[in-house]
Amino acid sequence: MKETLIKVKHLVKNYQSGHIVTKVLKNLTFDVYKGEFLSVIGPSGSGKSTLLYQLSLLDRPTSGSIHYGKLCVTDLGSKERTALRLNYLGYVFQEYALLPDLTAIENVMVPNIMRGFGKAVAREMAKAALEKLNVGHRLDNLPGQLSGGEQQRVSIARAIAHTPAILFADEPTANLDTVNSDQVMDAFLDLHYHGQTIVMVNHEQEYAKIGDRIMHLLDGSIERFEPSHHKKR
Amino acid sequence: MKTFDGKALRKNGFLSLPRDITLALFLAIRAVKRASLGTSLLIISIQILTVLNLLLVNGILVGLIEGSETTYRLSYSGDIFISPLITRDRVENTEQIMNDLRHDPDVTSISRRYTASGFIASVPARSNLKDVPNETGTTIVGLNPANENSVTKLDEQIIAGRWLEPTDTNGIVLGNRLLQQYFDVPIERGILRNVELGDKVTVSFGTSTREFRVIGIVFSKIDPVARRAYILDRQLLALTDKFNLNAGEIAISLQPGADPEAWVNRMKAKHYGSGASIKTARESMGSFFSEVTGTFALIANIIGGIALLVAAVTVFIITFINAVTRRKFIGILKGIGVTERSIEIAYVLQAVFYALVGIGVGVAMILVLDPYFDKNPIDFPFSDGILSVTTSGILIRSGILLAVTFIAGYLPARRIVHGNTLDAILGR
Ligand SMILES: Nc1ncnc2c1ncn2[C@@H]1O[C@H](COP(=O)(O)OP(=O)(O)O)[C@@H](O)[C@H]1O
Ligand SMILES: [Mg+2]
Repeated sequence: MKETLIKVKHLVKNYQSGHIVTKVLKNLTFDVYKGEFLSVIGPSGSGKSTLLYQLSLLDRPTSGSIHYGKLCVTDLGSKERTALRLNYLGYVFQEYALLPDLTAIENVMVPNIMRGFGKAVAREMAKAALEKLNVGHRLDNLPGQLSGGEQQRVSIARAIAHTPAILFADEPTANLDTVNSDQVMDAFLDLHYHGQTIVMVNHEQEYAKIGDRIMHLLDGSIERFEPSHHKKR
Repeated sequence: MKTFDGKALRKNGFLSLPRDITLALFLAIRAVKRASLGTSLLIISIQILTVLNLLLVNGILVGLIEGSETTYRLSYSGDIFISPLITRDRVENTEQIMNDLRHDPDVTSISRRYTASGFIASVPARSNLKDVPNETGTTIVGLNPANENSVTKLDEQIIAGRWLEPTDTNGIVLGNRLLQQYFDVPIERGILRNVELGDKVTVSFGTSTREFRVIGIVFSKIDPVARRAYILDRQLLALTDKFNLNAGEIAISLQPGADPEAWVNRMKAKHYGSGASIKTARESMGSFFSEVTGTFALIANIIGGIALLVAAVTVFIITFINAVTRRKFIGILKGIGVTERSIEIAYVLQAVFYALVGIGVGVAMILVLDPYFDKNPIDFPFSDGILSVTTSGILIRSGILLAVTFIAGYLPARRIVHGNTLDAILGR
């Protein structure tokens, strides 16, 4: 039996500006299972990013609930949510989102230091994560000196350096060319192969076929779930 | 496998200040190291200017007063100044006091002066009845040149002719403010006009008048010296109250290192206070100087306050711009779980770092300027200004600048850092 990691019930997200209410997520109910690679696809504007922000505690839903295991995270205060993100979640943004003043390894060290690891340990962990993502040769380069694919892989290293319970990614290859995209996707697949739970939003049909399960989002509602046909490596 | 546990979260040190500071240091050090040189230099220059403003303006204004106190002590009062009580015009029991002073181990030298009010007039005082008389009323001081030279440095302040010598009967030394030619503005009355070195003047005390020759002119920036005339003590006594040997004033030098205040207290305990006023140089300068000092301190504080405000606004703006242009990265930091407090501390640390460098350089410059001003005093109208800086003054002002920087860095950082995380990341 599959273990449920995230339980989403009647999730609603509206944006209000003045009198106009935009209903972006309309009553979503679904589970994310431990160890699965869930792809969320849908046309632009269907609410994929918004859904990811709710799941990853970057935003608060209008109504409905999200449970991490038995913990209801929709009720938590902002400090607890920050701590949860730090200790249990990993997030890969669409743009590389690296700190431009910090080298690759320093970028990865930041959350490790925040987690309370000494600088030497934080550095070792960061180095291991970067090596795992095949950017071990770029440790001391600033983001500006890295290719897009390298930057995104550093960004993934930062997200997984602490082996998070769940790794979120929002169109991580949107800004990359094919070669770089393939490298980054390979990295995700490799992480998944080693047991990492992943929730990834994708625009492109091609990469949407990647993953165990595909959620089709249309206009803020789940159109359907589809099992993926791609083979695990 | 990690399990999600709210209680553990709350307990598990995510509110840990040391952790926040460690990361803040990590971020701040790298931000400073990789900041543009131009910006760093700009911020540091402003901090240096503020330090100089805080220390230099105050130091010069207070130093001006200290300079006049030094002048006062070295040309008039000595370390200790004994003068008549307000109700008398002589120091009572002068002989007894002198006797004690001669046996006091702390006393190195004594100048016993006689004083009398008199009129000095050019010869002739006027050639025409319609003229303003060429005369001035002043205090004539009778002194013993050898004793005087051991207490004050009046002999070094002669700008024309020479200082009195024991044989200078009928010789007079005039203070510069008795003579019109030493004023920048033309003054007609109560001043000697066209009286030069070698000229004859008459000095009258009540009914007795005597002719003197001007043998020297002494220059001083303080009135008690510049508005007096000096002759030999025995001659003054002969012309005035020759049977009263009580002094008009006594100036005393103490051993280097002796504490004038303690000495005065000891003297007063011997009851001389009842017949004379015994004061340290500073006390005898009186309320004029303490009022001026107060005024100058106020001016210095106002100027310093403005400098602090400018520094605060600069730090505020720079931190604000710095944080606004990094709003997205602040959002990302928060997004990956970095606490707001840690990011705020990082910004404050940067601001404080620049302030510390500025303070270091500024204070170093002050410490170089201080001995320079001691050797090359600033020529003020009523004093030779030195730079007055004290360790406590430096520490207090540096501390205030640091505190102001801290707040001016914290407020804008907090404003930006506190904003919505997602809005910051998405640039909304
Ligand atoms: N802050 C907001 N205010 C109003 N509408 C918003 C806001 N953010 C997103 N939306 C709207 O919500 C919808 C879904 O956006 P998003 O989740 O970014 O879609 P996707 O990631 O699938 O392209 C869009 O129509 C968008 O215009
Ligand atoms: Mg999107």
